Amino acid sequence: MRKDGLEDLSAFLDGELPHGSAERLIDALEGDEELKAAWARYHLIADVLARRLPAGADRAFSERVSGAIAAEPVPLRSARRRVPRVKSVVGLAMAAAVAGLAIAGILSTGSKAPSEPPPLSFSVSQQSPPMSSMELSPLPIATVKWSGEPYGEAGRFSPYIVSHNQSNRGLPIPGVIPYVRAVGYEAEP
Amino acid sequence: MGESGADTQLVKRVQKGDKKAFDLLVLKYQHRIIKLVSRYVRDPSDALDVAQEAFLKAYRAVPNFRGDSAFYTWLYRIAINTAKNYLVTLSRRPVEAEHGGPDNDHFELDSMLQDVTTPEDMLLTDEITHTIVKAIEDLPDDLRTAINLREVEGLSYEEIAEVMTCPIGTVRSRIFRAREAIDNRLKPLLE
Repeated sequence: MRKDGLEDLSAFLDGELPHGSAERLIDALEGDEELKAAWARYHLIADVLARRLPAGADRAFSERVSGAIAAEPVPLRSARRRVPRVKSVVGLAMAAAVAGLAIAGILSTGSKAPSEPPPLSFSVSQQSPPMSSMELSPLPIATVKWSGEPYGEAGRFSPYIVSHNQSNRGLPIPGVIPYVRAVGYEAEP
Repeated sequence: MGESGADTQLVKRVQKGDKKAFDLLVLKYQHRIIKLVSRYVRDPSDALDVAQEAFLKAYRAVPNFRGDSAFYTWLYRIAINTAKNYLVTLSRRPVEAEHGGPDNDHFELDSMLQDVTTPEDMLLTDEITHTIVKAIEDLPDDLRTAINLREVEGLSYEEIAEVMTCPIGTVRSRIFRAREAIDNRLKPLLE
């Protein structure tokens, strides 16, 4: 064994060997039993000086551990659980679809009255997109057109509920998206 | 680089599947871990088994070691937990199974003997310690001071160079020569 190899070993032991030289030394350590024995003895000296040597040190201990490690499979890094991106997009689309159906349900409940009130011309300004293409597109905005004829009893009741929900901002109805009344002007052709 | 830097290099190799690099870590830390475990597990033979188990656990977990702490800190925690788990298992084990029943007259004596390290092991440890201490006493002053500042005080080469007012290269050389002189006395004892 060359003396400069041992001097490098001594410096590596103290963490004072440059990275490249340390890599070469580790290669040598793994293939040279004599150098490896010197590594063990240098650490033994360090442990005695630092009073870390246990009473009755077992010289065969490292060989036993080495034998047990040799029988072990090479451990692999445990894979992190990854949520596929497609899944999250589908989830978003589903949530949007449910929200759209909820709005449509509220509106349709208001239009169906038992006493057949005068029909309201109900139209959705933008058709709901099919499920497959419903990703991040905005929700449809409902537009209600009044035909000008007077409402029946149920017809009068629906605007009351809407007004109540609109003005009672502090206590929103659970599960129902807050209603915002938008008033616009549309010129007759 | 620092001492932990050398560990990091070895750990990275182990993470790439190099088992021999882990053997070097075992050689480096075996005494510290055995001594640590011995504080919890009094029986020397059991302490060695627990220490071995700790190294095996560390080897299995090493791919997930991210280097947030020093390798020894991480290994230390594994060893402590392994020793504590062993004690829990031991407390749950029926006494009959361990010592052949409560009627065993030799129970007390067995228990006492298990706490004592074998005379051969004790003798070797004493001899090793004595040889190293004597070798250090016989070193020239500059080598003895350098090795003590490094191994006992834990100073870096740069700090030792400052204390001893000499270049870092000289510190490196002095520490190596001190180790070489001690090793020349120690080697025949271990062969």
